[in-house]
Amino acid sequence: MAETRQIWRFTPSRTEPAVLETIFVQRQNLLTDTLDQIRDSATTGDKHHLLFVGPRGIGKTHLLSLIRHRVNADATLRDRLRVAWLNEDETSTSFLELLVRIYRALSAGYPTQFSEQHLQETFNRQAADGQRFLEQQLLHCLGDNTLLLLVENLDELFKGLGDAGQKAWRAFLQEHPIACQIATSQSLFAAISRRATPFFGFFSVHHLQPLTVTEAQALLLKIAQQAGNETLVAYLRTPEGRSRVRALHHLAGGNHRVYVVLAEFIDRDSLDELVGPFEEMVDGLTPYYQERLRWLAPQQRRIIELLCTQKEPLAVKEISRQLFSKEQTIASQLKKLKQLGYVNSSPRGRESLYELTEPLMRLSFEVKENQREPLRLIVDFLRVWYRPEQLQTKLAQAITSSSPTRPHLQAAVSRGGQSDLRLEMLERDISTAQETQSWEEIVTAMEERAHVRGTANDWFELGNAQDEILRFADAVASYDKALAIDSSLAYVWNNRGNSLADMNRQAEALESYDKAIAHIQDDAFLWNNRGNLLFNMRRYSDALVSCDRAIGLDPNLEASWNNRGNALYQIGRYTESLESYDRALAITPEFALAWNNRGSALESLGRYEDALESYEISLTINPADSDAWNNRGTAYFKLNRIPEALKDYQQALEIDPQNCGAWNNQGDALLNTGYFVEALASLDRAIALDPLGAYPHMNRVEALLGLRKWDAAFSALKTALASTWPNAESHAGDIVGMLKGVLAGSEEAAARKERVVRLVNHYRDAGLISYFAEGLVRSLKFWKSSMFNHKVLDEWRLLWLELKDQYPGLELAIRLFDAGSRYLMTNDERVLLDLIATEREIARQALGLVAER
Amino acid sequence: MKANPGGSIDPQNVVGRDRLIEQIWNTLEGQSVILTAERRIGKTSVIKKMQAEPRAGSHPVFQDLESVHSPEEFALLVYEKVQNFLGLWKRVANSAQRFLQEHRIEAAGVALEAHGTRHWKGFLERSIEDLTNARGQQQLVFFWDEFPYMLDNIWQREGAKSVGELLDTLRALRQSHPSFRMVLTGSIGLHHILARLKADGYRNAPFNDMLKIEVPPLDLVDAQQLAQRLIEGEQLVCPDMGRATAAIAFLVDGFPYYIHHIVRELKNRRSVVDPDKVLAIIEHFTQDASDPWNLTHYRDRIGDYYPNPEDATAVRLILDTVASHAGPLELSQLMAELQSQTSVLGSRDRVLQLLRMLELDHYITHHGDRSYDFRFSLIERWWRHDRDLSP
Repeated sequence: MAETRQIWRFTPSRTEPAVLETIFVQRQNLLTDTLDQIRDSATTGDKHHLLFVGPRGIGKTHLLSLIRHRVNADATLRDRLRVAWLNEDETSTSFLELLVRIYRALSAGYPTQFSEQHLQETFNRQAADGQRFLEQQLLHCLGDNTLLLLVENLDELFKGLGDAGQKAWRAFLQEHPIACQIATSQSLFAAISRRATPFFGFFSVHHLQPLTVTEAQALLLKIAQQAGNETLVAYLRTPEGRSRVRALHHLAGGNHRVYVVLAEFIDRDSLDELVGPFEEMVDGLTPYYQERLRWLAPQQRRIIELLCTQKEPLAVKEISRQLFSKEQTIASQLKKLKQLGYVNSSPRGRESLYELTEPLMRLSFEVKENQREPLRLIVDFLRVWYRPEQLQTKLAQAITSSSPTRPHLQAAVSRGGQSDLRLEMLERDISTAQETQSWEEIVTAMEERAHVRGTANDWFELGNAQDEILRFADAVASYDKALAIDSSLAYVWNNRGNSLADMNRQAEALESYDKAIAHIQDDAFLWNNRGNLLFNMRRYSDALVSCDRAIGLDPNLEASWNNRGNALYQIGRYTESLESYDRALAITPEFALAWNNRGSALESLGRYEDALESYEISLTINPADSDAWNNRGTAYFKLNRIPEALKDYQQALEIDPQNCGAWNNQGDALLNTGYFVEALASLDRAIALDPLGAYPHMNRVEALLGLRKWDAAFSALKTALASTWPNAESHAGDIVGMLKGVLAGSEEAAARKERVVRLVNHYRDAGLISYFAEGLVRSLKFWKSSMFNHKVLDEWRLLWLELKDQYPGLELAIRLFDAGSRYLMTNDERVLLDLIATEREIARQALGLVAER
Repeated sequence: MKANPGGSIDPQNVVGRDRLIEQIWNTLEGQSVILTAERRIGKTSVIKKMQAEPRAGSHPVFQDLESVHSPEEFALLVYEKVQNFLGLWKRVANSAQRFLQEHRIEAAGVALEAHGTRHWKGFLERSIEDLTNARGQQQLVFFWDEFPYMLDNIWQREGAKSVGELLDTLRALRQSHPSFRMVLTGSIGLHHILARLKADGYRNAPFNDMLKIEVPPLDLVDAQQLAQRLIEGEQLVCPDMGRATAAIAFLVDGFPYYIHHIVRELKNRRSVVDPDKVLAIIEHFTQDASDPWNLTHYRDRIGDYYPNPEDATAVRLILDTVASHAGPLELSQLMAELQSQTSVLGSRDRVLQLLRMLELDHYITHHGDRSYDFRFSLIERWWRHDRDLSP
């Protein structure tokens, strides 16, 4: 704790710079930008002038101190700049006096460069002459350096200077652009914000924002860390600690100094320890707020006094009603008060609601109003610090003792009744965050609420919010808390299932859905979700059953019809799946996803033109669906309309550059047009997105074969075969492609054979020789339409016959290929009679002599 | 190059003013110049650039006169500059110094008044005489910034007579010393000072030998270039530079000051630069209750510029009517709409006279076909917001 004392609460400029750096929050960007502008001023002819505006305690001096510290720590800036920090309590009533102050500050910092002697000579002259003399000396001594002028309370300085002084100062700066000014003031003031004034628009103005709850918590954490107070650090990270910070924020606003003062006792539970320092702080701040109130015109003061008595923000209409004034008058006064930094406004519909910028402002009013009563601020403070029942207990204890805090406790209990102020504040923050969809903030506040009150519904809502920001594990934990309170809540089990499914913990998710269904059997949505999960688990038949249950309960549930279609599709019942999609679309014709799925079903039925039409409708409804573009591309691809396919893939990728399937399909299409290098690039993107995806790896092998990079191709094949393959059929096309690659790229018979052997060996080693067999047979279809002549085919046939004994697993396939290729060369179906009937049927299919199943 | 709204701009970083500067130098070969401009349009940057990069044979001297409150102070400032200049060329001709000795007046800092007689006029004449006699190597050109402010200060302290005398003296000096050159600039229009002088009985035309040149906002191409340099200097992310800079340039009518402001705000917000973000920032600056650009000035100053309440009402009505139209408004239509709303305005001549004043005050511009529009879309946007009008 000893080090904490190093933080000077009211004069941050005395605090060690290292400490100031440690506890700096919220304004890192502003500080970086300011230093950039100072650097620009120091090293170029540009000179920047910045003004930071904010009420007392908002951290202005802290910021200036850090600026000076960073400037001093930077060799270039230290060399180029001469820093003059004007003492904030000194006034200047003329330009000459200002010059003297600047020169004196420089002389103190750089005595050899700015001789004190010049000041003495100035004092020996008459004012006008002295001014000229000192101007010249300042310019002369400064030489090539830039003056960095740090000014606190610029408004006060300008007030002292008056119009003549300001004009002289501006004229000097215009004639001699030697200075970069970094200034602060408590509010905007006419001398810089009115066009008719000399310094209008001269300063780049930054309004320093109060801390948000999160920033306040960060500040307190840093203070605690700086003090080495690990207990406090840990406490601030708990929901209880956070909710106290939030409560303080509501009562005291986002003023930095308040948190610096309060940092020490935020984790205290003893009333005496708590109320004492709080009263001390209130005592210290009250005169300041009273003074601020005194500065105001009577009508503005009345408005502020009214707002001091309010718990909620007020609309102009209400303020004018309570003050017996015209709305127009009140509106114009509020505008001024806003400019002066006294009030904030936030829109509600067409009107604006006004509240105090600094909630502590009500101190100024309350102290005067309730001479002998406990301050409402302290009472409210107790109400947010403790739960209502804790307050009751503490009051009961205080009755037996002579605690000085008893009146406060009494007031807290009688004001609050059973209402929990901390909860009220939390609810307010939650609904504000919900209006702006600020999910992180919603989760934080809901965590605190669940901690403070902790009903099953609190935990359930928290879980939902956590799920929304993809914190699935946290969501499940929250649902578990809710279920620990009431295990019969089906909707909690259901949402728990959703979160588990999102984490790919499918078995547990299924269990959770089953629990939900055990409590409510006749909810179509629950069955639908279960069906969805089973589909994702590739348990398509089970998924179908669940979907049928959902549809049985609610035949108008289009999602279930769609899911049913998906399940049927996966088990190859394309015609039925098409019917299911049609049912979904009959209920909701705008169901883009169902149109898309319908396209896939049609595609699988070989109805490519119809599929195109279905995708078209899907894309009309939702042109931002990357998958639909990808699917349409595939339909075009299958119709051999490659340029259109490529265009669709590009569209899909423009919408979603992470669409792995589209990268792969684009690679595939490029392969088919012989653009191997481009194909490889596209496939590499697909692999980067899904390193385990089998298809891009396999297409990559084909691309490398096309480029005749044999070693790389076979090494890639090894990787590709290590991936999971659904079935031999899905693989056959790739084998055909690879065989084409080997054949086209190997003119020499010996080389050709060697490559074929390597290819087959990889399949054999991977235990996938049966896949290869299927591919070899299917390659007959390719030869049917190939541009290779019969001589090449015959050589190829003989090559395989040579290998027949080497690979027993390929014996049948080679026999079929042999007969098939002889048919292709002779066009005489009798050659197929060498095969037995069942084999002959397979060969006829491979040759396209009968329709495929 | 960093965004620097309101600060001093390095002459090297002044973008898009080369043609204007060329025009001013060309004019100065033959006569003196009055440089008019709206506040914060960048006229000081123009004259600072002229000072930093003078045309061969010219020696520009910049003086900000806003803190000058008497003809004596002014004469003394001129004297000092002339002395510096003469010293520079080692020509100590110096009748002005002799003048001081003859009248036993101390120079630095002391009012040029001895034995109850004011001597600023004679002193000023001698300084200019010294200057023109020393001509031959280089020509001294005075750039007097905030000249109208000085006149206003003198008016406040001494009344209209001194102002008239000073203006007449300067005009006479320009006549008697054809090589004496000045560039007068200021953020309040000289025409308002002149109008007040005339109302006070002043009958002369003190500027009719000078050419009035207006500092316009930047051309859109130059404004885009400025925006681009600032965006690059601040290292902001800008996916489509062409569209983004066009949006900035167009929406603030090429005002460099606002361009700096917008880029600074984009930087503050750590925002990607695109037209939507630019528009959002402009709406913030033009609609925020705290009025960060003090655009209410365009409403409030009407009362000062048009002290006759009827004129002020009429001016507001004219501006409301023009702002209520999406495009330029023809005079006949403007007249018809005005007459349907009020009987205050009176004759067509009266409306034309007010329109001319509004043009001088940069509110309005007229097109060749006698149609009128707001001079700056930014001000029009704000006026509509402030007066709750829609086109």
